[in-house]
Amino acid sequence: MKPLDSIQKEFKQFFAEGICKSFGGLKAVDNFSMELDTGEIVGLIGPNGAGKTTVFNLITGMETPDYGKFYFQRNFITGMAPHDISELGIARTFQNIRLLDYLSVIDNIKIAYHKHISYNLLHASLRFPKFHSVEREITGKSFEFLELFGLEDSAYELASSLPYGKRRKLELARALATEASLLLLDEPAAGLNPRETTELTELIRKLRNDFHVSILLIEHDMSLVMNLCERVIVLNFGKIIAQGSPSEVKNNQDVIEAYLGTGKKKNVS
Amino acid sequence: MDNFLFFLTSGLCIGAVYALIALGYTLVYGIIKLINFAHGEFYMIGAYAGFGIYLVLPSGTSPIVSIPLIIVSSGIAGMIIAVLTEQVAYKPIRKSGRLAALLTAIGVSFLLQNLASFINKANPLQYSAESTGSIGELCQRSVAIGGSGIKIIQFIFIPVTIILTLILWHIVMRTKFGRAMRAVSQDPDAAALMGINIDSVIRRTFLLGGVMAGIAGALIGFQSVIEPMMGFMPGLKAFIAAVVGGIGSIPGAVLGGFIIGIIENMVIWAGIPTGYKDVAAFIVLIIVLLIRPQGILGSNLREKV
Amino acid sequence: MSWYEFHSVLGSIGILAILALSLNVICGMTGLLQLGQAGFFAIGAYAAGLSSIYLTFPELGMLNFVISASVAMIAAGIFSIILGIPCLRLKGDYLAIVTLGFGEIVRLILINLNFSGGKMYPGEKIGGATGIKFTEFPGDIWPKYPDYSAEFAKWWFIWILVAVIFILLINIKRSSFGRAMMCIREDEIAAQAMGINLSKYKLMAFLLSAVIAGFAGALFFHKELAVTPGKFNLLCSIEILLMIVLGGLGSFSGAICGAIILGMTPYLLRHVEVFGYRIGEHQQLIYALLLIVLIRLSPNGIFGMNEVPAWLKIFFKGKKQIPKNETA
Repeated sequence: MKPLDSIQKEFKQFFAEGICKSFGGLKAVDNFSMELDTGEIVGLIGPNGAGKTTVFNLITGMETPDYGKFYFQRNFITGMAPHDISELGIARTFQNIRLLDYLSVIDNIKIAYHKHISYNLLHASLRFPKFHSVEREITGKSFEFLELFGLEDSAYELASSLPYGKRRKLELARALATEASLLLLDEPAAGLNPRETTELTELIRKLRNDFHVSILLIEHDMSLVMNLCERVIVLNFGKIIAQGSPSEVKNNQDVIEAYLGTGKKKNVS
Repeated sequence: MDNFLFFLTSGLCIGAVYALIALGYTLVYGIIKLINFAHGEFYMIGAYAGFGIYLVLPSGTSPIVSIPLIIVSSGIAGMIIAVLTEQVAYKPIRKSGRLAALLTAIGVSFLLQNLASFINKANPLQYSAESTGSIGELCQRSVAIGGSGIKIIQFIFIPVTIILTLILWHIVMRTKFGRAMRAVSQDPDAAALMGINIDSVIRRTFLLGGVMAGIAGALIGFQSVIEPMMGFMPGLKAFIAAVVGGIGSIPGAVLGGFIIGIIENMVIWAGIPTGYKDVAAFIVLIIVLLIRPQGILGSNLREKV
Repeated sequence: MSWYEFHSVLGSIGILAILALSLNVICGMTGLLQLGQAGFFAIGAYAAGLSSIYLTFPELGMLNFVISASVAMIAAGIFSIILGIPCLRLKGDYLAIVTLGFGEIVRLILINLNFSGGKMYPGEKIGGATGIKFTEFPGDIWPKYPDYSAEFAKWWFIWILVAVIFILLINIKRSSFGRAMMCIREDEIAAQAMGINLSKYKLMAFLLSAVIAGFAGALFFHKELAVTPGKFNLLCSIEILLMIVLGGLGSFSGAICGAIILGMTPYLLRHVEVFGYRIGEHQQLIYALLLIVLIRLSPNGIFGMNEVPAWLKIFFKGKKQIPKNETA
């Protein structure tokens, strides 16, 4: 998808301007600014501790920035509560996978629809017809998502019983099921083998095309970043040290030094 | 206005006792993030142990000898029961999660209360009841401050608390063990990787806490009655004191103790019926948790996303 | 044990079951450790008692129970919101202590509070440490007012209520509300990321749990026709917690099971002697040991988090699957 003209900048889907966040004396994020347009896949990379997950936490409202602003679809979202931000259409996955282990796989997906419930406590406790029709709808939609990710056979198993690769998929499915227009993926390929990683790359691209979502992802697996991302932002010590297309960034001296000190370029996975 | 001095002094004295108990809470919570519900019972057992020693001493013993002896033996009793509890009840469930730990602590608390009830079936024990011994007389003597009588024995509460706090502070800040304690409280895994023996640190932390609680028990024993349930309320209030002052902070615990002690008494001085005295501490807790959850001197800890 | 006593015990266990169900909503389903349930139980009981004194209309007969139960539930509900709002940002242990404090505050206030006698005890003060007792009525008022209470003491009525509440709660568990609450229990941060408004659902849990406990209190008052504040202490709250831990934290079936087991135990043990000690007398000691041992051996309780159908399947077929209609 072509990025919009810079004159029409104000219509881009997501902006970050001058975001700063310190914890105690440590500046975790320093003057972070970016823009993201509908349908783009942007990578956020950098050495460990560079502040990438903190950026995600700031965007989703888990943390409040000390300075700076976020805009999403022309809404000023800085300082909003996480659940309100989620309602606007931003969803995220977690580095360490936060699934609801003691609920079934399908329940994990059904949670995404809790905002769309048109029945109340009374209807639920007395099982009015309204409850049944809404629940049927939700179950149907949830199954669609499970099928998309190949998880429909495990629908009624406990989420904790899934193998690692499927857990990652469920995490992704759950985020997508919230009908978000911006997905923040935190190391979606962590722990996956090369075959699974290629599968994931294809999957993410397909999701972007079919669901018209924008994706901002944190990754350490450079093959995924190079193949998937249209743009890459590099963070080090909370500051942006480089931005551009994957090949531009790959050859950027500052980036190489940030990852490796000085010396040969290697595949960092 | 006369009364004010009496209640202030009372508040300071009881505050000193709360401070000692609170120190134990804050130490243990700082190390293993467990609210040791049974801590109040360590205090109770210390009081009983002190009284037990007193019964054993020859009746003519001068208070200058017997009082320190009682205090020391209470401390030792508190220490023993604390370490015992940690080894038998808390250590096995260390990996089982917070709920398990809390429920076990509550269980231990009930257990100790009931054991004490079993042993001390009849009337509560009192030093002053034994008027034949020198301590008995000493504990009955009071001096008028602000219009009402303050028992003379209470005047040792504050100095004892201050001395013990200073000793504790020295241990935590200046010794190798103290460094180990602080390391474990910040990051147990990293501390273990550095070669610190976590089990030993935890055990010795309980030891310190138990000593404090036991001595507090002895002190209160001088002033009022000793009975099996005596640890319940003071235990809760001392925990509140630790939270108010900032859980994990030694000066915080002491500060909190005095604050709770004084506020309690001020509430009575202000004319509110004594039955509601205990409610004051809980109200203070709720207010502090609303306004400044980390306590007055506490620091903010955040969960990593 | 006489038949009368037996029926009375069955009724008491039914009330315990309702309390266990109520606590399971907030502790088992939403994962908030609440140690002050005895406080809501007490509020419900006292509210029902006071309502029976001030708000009873002889013409209405049995409907008076509806009035007093409603008053009890509303009172408990209001206090749950008052307690719940400060508790929203508290985690784990702190929440436990504050709710424990709440339970204690309620008990302490009820010990010290005196109410005016109203129509029933004109000119007298009631309440305080002795509580409220119907049996102290002046003769000519006694037959008219609390007549309906005798019927409500019937244990089968109480157990019908247990079944109804159980079904309502299971329906809630298997709905979006239950899912949201369980999500909060599993992982608050993930819940926020999914757009769940923590405050809304936590307050909902507080409210629901307290209202049911208040209702149990009303039942209790009408069954016993007397309340004393001393009974609603920490031990009471812990007993209820023990019931749901025994049955399985998160399972409503387990809550009822736990209530039955723990409710029957004192009566069963009453006539058992070990080494010359009558066990029944040392109930607290037994509870303490039970708590410690239970946590060590079987932290998930009898049912785990499952309700009866799932448990049956797992038990008999060894499956790790949850049956289709079992999921929320």
